[in-house]
Amino acid sequence: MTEQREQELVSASIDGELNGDERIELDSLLESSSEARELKTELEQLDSLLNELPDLDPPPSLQASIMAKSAPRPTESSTSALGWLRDLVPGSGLRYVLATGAGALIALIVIGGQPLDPGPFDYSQMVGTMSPGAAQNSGDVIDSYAFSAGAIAGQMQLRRVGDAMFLDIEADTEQPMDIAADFGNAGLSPDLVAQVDGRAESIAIAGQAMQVQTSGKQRLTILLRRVNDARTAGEAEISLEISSEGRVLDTGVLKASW
Amino acid sequence: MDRDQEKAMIESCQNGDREALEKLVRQMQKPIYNAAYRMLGNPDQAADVTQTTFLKVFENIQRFDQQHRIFSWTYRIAMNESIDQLKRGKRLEPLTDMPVSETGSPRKEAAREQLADTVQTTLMELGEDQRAVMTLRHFSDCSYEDISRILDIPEKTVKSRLYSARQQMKSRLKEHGVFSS
Repeated sequence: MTEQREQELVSASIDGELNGDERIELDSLLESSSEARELKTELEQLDSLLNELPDLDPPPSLQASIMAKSAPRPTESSTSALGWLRDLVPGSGLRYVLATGAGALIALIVIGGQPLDPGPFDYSQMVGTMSPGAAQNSGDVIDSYAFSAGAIAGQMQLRRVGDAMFLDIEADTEQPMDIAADFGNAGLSPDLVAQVDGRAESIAIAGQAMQVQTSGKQRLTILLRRVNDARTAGEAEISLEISSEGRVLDTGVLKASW
Repeated sequence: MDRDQEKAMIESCQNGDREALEKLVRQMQKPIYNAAYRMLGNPDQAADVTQTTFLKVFENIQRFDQQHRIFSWTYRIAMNESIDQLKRGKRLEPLTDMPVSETGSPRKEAAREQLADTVQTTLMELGEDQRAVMTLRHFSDCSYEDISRILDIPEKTVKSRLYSARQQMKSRLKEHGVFSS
């Protein structure tokens, strides 16, 4: 038997790739060759060492980030028709609102057609005009998260106002930045987005995930609606991921206790 | 997931069903991320590669031939993306802040992390071709046939690369004092 054949047989035994005849051939080899026995022991040790390495968990918001990035992008012509968003969130009513800052008042541009069910907290007053103070300063701050990486810095704050929650985002970046948020574990869903200062390049909502692409200075307030009670009894988490040019810069969570 | 369930899921993906796409990501993101991490040795780059892999899968799902297995195709994209990333020569960060699934006592955990770092460093010392076969065999649990299909190389080459990679790893790990003779 050639040395190469011996190596093949021993390796295949480690990998569980031997057939019946080869198993007999290997048994005979191991009986007659101390080198083959030593090789088998070493390869088993290596195999066992590699098997001890733990599986790694991907970043918590990776899935949301992938889904948001794969969503069709809104264009000038499609934003008014909302076609891409209807495909994204089948059966939803109004899911997407853009607002542009104008002095102390914010003009909200409603891009959906159907009326909102206001639920326990009547947020229908957000459509129209409101002051930035009302948008970003009221209620109790539940949790906050700050991020800083190179030319990108900012913070997020989760507020509760009655039965509603708001996520405030402030960012200052000299390069394009993506913010991905997954509200699935918190039983929340993003419903309205007000751009208090600056204007995001795109905002996409897919189910209970959201992705904002922006650069420069930006302030956003997002109204979050409770969509289920699964995690509302205790603390639930919103997963966050900050990335730039396809590179993940930071990840974090906001605890959303009711 | 059996073959029929996989076929149904792929058909839904091909029909633009985003829930099916999301299911695909949910099922495959962890193994793909782990394979990319073993190839790149860097969690951020592994996340980048995982994301790019799935975006390419979505982009090309219409052309996917159901005679093949989706995992082989997805792994193939991930391995190519990882190798491209390495060729672009992006600087590797030190192996810190590795996200680990399980936890134990602090001392055990520290020893385990050190061992994991040493093994990953040794893996990174292999050539890309050898690292690819080791990753698919040991961390993705692929058979010789799977590896051959994913990397588009003959099974004979898979065997010889695995053998030489293992010999090299044994020797390096002995130098690091991890592996006994």
